[in-house]
Amino acid sequence: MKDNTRTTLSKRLTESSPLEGMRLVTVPTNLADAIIIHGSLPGGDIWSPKDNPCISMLTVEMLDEGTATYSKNEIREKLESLGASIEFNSDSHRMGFSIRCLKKDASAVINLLALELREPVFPAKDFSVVKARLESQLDEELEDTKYRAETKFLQKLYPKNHPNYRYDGAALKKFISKATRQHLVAFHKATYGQADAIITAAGDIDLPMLSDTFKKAFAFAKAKKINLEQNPIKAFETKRDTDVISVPDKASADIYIGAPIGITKSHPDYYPLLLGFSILGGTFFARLMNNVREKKGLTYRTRAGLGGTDNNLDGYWYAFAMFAPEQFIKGEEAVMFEIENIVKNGVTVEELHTHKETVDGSFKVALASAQGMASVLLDNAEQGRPHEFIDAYVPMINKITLEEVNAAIQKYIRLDNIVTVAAGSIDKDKNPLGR
Amino acid sequence: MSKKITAPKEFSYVQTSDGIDEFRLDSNGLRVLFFEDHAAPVVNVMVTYHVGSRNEAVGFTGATHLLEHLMFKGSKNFNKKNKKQIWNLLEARGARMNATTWFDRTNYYETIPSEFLEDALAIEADRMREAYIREEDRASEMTVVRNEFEWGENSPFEALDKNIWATAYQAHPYHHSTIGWRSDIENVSIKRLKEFYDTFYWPNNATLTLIGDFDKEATFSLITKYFGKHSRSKHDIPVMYTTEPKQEGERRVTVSRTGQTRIIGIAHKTPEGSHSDIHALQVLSSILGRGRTSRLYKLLIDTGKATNIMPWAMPLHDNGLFMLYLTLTPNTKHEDVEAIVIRQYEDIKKKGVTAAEVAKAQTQVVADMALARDGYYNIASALNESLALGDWTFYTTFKEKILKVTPQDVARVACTYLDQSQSTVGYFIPKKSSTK
Repeated sequence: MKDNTRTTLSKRLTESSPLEGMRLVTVPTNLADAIIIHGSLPGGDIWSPKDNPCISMLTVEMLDEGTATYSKNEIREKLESLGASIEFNSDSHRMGFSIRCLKKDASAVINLLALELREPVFPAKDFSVVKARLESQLDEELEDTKYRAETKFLQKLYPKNHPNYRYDGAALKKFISKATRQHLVAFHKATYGQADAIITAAGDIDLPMLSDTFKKAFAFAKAKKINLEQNPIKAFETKRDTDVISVPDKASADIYIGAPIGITKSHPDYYPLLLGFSILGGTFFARLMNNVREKKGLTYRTRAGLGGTDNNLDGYWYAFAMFAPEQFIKGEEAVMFEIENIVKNGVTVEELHTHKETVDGSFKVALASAQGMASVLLDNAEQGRPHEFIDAYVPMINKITLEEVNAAIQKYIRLDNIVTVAAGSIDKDKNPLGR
Repeated sequence: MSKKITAPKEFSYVQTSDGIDEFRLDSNGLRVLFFEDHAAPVVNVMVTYHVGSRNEAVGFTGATHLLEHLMFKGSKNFNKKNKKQIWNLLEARGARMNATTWFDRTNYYETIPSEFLEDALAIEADRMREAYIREEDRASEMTVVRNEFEWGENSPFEALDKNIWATAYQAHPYHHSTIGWRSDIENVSIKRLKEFYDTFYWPNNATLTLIGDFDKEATFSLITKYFGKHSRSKHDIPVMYTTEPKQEGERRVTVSRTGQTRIIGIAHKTPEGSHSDIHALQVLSSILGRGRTSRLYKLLIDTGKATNIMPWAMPLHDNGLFMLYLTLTPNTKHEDVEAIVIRQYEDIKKKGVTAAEVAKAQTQVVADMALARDGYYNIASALNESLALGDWTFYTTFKEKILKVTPQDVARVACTYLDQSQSTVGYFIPKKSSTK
């Protein structure tokens, strides 16, 4: 067996700056002849106009509908004839892109990416089609009981102007309907054209080529074009509360249980609490899956964890499960029992030891592909951390004590502020709807 | 000069294709596939059993899948009593692991830090012949599987898909989905499940695949140590002999449930996965519905008639389906979209496809194949599907065969298989809710 000592990722990667403000992080892997690139820039939902939070998302949706140089069909034809793809996405803070292509085509694909970011024309006709498509997809989400339970759960935890708030389908449809091409043009002018990108690439790396291509293709971009202001809005002070969304004709119902935690990833309690939630519901052998699924046979899937803590936001804890309507009340009781039990009795030394080992091993597995490597590096850099944090992560987790984990659980899982939202074919009392 | 492949005396070397070596453990017939690579300190271990829902019949549909769940409940040397439970030994050490069941195969896999390879092999070997298949576990796991079934039923797409397969196939067991019918999930006996296990879970009906960071010589020894203790089955593995009678006319099915979603699925019968037309059908599927430059994307998504297009032409062990699913926008009629799709089929049958369209589909496959080698699990997973259709080299020769497809081949397979009399069309139609 070859040497399996811990891989020091920070020593295997190279960071360069093709342009002022741009960070290009590359890691060669064994992926032959192909490359995976991820990147992101400021420009997510928080930059949208106050009266229409969908403008950032709509701008991203329209980036591949044509540029001043090429029509949408020309761009798509160029990409697909290379077997390459460029995908765009956006979240509360950033707009992102990802490229998958053969190494030999990387330069051509990056140039197309730069065109799509620099000079999208947002054709009015295509904008109407995209809006109708998105509205239709939102209609479909009305039937997704998990999505509906989670949306309502987040609405009960955060005020509308908090990045963790999620609008429901009806509200989003209204925003989309009101959006005009001019909104997108204005948003693009104000927000895009930045050089402040974080770009990670893994696979068959040709660093001089990548660096030179990004430098030339993004020569139009300026550093520090927009600045991020810290979000002053905090989560609600919740009280114990339950909501039920009745959705007919659904064989399985979903439940979200949780509350705000009021801390960010940089708080000293964050990682002890994260370990606590890993023990409650982060893995297949965690308490929820072991007791609610394996022992009691009540659910196919149940999980618990922390969410909403990226971008220095005050996050929340949650437990999720799905049950047949006939089993719902029993199922909810079983999940609540595990939550109350972990607060009352804490976790054990054995559980903590095992879950630390899980973190160690799963990190190795996550970094064993170019896709995983590019994602982990980007996520880490987006959170403003040095690359060394990735190598220091497992030792840091290993230093956390039993007392720290149990203190964090006691402090942040308060039984008096838990919010519960259920969605499915159940009535307000959580009994099955008549069929 | 090619390197000579050697194996210990317990194994026979069978063949090599695209860097993947095949061996056989002679004592019991276990097939072993090796692809050694040391770029990352992890290894993927996968055991594929050549049994799936095509080996089930009325009364025990879903048995393969339910059995897959029971395979995690403990075996002679890895169980709760001795505190060596499978998830605790593997996932707890960082493994990405699970099992899946489908029409033609069942697979168990774990991608783990390579220092735990021996544990993974020991566990897989133990549950191959020494799994506990107990009533107490069936009773608690049945409700878990039933909730998995219920979860699937929540999805309009899954509901329509099940109905299209059930309509397209009358005799052949592709008629029922892998999860099975609800009443069979609830009522299949532990005796039937144990019989199923004792019929199909044998080394001579399995393939062990290792991809990644392992030492070949040491691993041969481990395989001999753990899997070599099993004998081959004393019975012949039963052959599923039911063939689907020839379809004599178009079939149609409608699923109507409360909600908003509107979907159409159009399916045509295709030959078995080993047939030489399969590669041309893949190219045809790509030209019709893959990517934003495909014919139907331009006709239906770019025009706002549909929100999503999903072509599906995966080769199976037996005759399969060439399928196309479209999710419609609110004001579009199912009939109109169906007509557009069928017109496009007829257009290809009449006028063929262009050399540029074929070349683009071929380039996409070349890029896909290169990118699909990212991560050991991806390689093992692709091999798993090829094993399911009966020939693991389907994966390693796929690119070469796709590159040989001509526009004439594509037009020919369109004429041969896109025949209305061999089609099944399904509509998912929303109905108004009576509950507020």
